[in-house]
Amino acid sequence: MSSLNASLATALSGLISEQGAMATTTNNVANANTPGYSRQVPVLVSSDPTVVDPLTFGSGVTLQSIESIRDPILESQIQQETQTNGQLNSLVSALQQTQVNFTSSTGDIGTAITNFFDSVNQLSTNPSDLSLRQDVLTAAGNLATAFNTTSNNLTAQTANIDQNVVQSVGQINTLTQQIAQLNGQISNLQNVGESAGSFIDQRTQAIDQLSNLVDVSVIPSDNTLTLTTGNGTPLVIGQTAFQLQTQPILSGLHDVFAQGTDITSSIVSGELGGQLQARDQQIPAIQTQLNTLAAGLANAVNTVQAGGFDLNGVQGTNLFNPPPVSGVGAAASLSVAITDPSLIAASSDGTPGSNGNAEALYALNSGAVVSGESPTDYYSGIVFNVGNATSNVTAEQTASNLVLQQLNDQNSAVSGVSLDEEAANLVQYQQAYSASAQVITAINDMMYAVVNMATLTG
Amino acid sequence: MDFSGFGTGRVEADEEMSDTHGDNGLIVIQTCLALMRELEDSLRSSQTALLARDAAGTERCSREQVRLWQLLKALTGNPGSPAIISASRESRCESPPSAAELAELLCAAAIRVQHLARVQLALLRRSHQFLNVLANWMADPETPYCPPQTAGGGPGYAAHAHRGF
Repeated sequence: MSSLNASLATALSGLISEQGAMATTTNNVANANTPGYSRQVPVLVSSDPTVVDPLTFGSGVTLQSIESIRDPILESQIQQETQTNGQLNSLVSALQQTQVNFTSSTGDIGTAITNFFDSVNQLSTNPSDLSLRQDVLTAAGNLATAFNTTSNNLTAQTANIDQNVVQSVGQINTLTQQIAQLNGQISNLQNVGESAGSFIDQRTQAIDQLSNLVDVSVIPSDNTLTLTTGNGTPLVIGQTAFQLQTQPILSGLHDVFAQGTDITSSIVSGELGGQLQARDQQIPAIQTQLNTLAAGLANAVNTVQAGGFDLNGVQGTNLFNPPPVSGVGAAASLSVAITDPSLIAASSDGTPGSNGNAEALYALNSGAVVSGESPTDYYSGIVFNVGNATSNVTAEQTASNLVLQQLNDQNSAVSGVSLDEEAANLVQYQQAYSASAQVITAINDMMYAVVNMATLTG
Repeated sequence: MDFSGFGTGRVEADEEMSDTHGDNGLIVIQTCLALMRELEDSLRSSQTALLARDAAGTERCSREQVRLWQLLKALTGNPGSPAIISASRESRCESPPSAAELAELLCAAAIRVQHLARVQLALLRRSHQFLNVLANWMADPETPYCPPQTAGGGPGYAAHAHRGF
């Protein structure tokens, strides 16, 4: 038969366990508003029973562990969506900046093209008028300036994004270092059977932050985690963090290296992925289109100029300095080659009153001179592409925000602290604690009776 | 053409209404505006349904959107149609907005609808990805959880979003 001491030990185990459970609830309540905190639950198990033939007596309760409630698949989904969200945030930011260069204003390329051809049209009404000739030169200068400004703005934006790439890599390195340290702390605790819930929460938050910066694959292994980029480049293995480096390449921009290998092209998600996509794909594509337009327009104008005669009856010379043959840098370097308005070749037959060549110049406005399109249409295409890409990415960002919000809400429902539930638990543990204390009081009384009985009989 | 059931739900021939071209134009714009607003509401509802993985709700909203879109197409494709719509009879009784104001409202509504439609598309792509992942996972529980990768290595929707750049 179980002794009074055994009953006392059983009651004591109840006290200790309920106290532990109460501490868990207290911690949950304290962290109700802590970002990234996963609620903890005490795992109470019945202690091994004592067999006193032929009876089996329970021996109380043990607080086996304190577990954090989390849904690994949901966490994985959040990490995936966070990567996409980070990428889209970078892209939206970059494209919105780019779009500013293409909004209709007095200095934009579209207006400058229109003004240039309008001035040529005016000149054709009175080709010997020097002030109208000067207007054409001014409009040509404005057109060149518009191309230069837009191209330079895009180059400056590329340089800014490149700086962001360097900063992002620095942040990634800081986070991977933290995660490696946390891996060590978690591993140490779990190896001795301790709960590492708080450290796991911190690590999950750090991984979320890392996911916002770069595409990360999480591979769980015994008591630790391995993190790699999307293409398998290791970032963290156990307690070791692998630093990424940035190095300038021929273009002057920075590429991302991992242990000597250039992994720039393999980074597709996270803010870093978005920055690289904007820097290496989006903006260069716009620059190329601008160069094509600038070179096509300048060459077409120069060709028509060469086919006419200036005010002095001399064969026309280039109006614009010839753009590079490859077209690269044409927009940034476009400039007017002449300063004397009389050198504009408005005449088609060498007489000052002829406007044949001015009309031919004006006809370029609607001619297929840039990749089979008129300059205005080609420019409209660029504007449309920029606007369309911005709208698409903005919509993607909205969708991503909605999905991420939904996932975070789901995760909160699983891992978040419900104060109502904790209040109910608190009452339950408090009552159990009181009951165990009552049992101890009863056993104490019984012991007292036994001791007194012994004294009396003794 | 049967326009019944859209706008405020009361779409009918109105013989009393002026048949001058200007009035017809105004009525067409007003009706388009009413349809756009319905489309906007429907797109918002389907977003909620998509996020909640409510297949029946998504299907219902999609059908509604197709119907509204067809009505819009029919209306804008034939603005001189004798079918007169009394979608905004009440508003005309008070101080009717000018054509310019209506056109501005219509333009703003169209931009909102376009954005919502793009968001809807992005959400549908995500739902499709989710179903793919789920199907793969159910077919083989050992399959690692990750969205399908495109040839370029990035998420499919992102790659499509920037095609042409």
